Amino acid sequence: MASQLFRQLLKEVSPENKQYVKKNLDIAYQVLDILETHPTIKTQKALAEALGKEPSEISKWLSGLHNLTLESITKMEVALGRDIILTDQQARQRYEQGFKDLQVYKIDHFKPAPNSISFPGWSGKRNITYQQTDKKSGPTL
Amino acid sequence: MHNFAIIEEFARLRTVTYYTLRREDGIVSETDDFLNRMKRAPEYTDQFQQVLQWIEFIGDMEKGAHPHLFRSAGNCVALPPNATHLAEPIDLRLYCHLVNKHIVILYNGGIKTTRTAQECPNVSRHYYNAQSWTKQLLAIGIETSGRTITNIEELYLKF
Repeated sequence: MASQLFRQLLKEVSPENKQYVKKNLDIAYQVLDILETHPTIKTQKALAEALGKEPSEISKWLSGLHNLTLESITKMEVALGRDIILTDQQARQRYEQGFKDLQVYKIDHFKPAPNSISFPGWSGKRNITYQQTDKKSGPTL
Repeated sequence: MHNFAIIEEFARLRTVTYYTLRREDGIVSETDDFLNRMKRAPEYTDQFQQVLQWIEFIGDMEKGAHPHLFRSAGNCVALPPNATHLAEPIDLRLYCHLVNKHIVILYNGGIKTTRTAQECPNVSRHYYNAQSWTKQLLAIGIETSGRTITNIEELYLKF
């Protein structure tokens, strides 16, 4: 039987403590996510080398309960070449621009188009083609 | 002294199921015993609340119980994780066994008052129990399916 006491005590956690843990974990997981996809820095050890730090120190930085300074976050961002923290405004700018660039320019119900994405659940007669807008010349058909 | 211990679900969250142990003759589980004692220690309210929140967030995060989110404690692990340069050192310890990223067994813990857990009058008992239980669980071999332990309900554990 699950602990009722745990559920009850969780409700009493102050908003400050909740937010403190959440922010720390968000940063820790964000760095781990970047490491998974980074072309050269794929481990905490490699990140430590890039920063000139001991691996144990980076491990503590990423423990999720480290009082990370803006300076240490910035150092990691520079080493990784990626933003670890994005403000709401920055995120909106970045991703809205991405959606604007992605345009649906052709819907062909009968024959496959080049660069088409097929949807197996559909009848196979419909193809929607997405293409990145070429800002200089516009979409190439 | 030997006792039967029942392994029971403590909390089932989005990604992780937490289990705990309860002595067959015990009214509360090991982890509920920890919660009951810690909620009566007002000077550690912040640390205690952060550990509680920690358990919930880890359990709900997509990546689940990643080892770096725990601190090493002999052959098992503990919460909260290691951290330096904090305004105040974290003295609270909750010992646990990380089975995999979807299953964690929470034991007991307390406020560590000495440099090592072994010499601390508050947590040494919990530390040694955690070592012993983890060793026994590893020897038995825990079988899992998704977020559920499938092969152990009642254990004969040494207390």
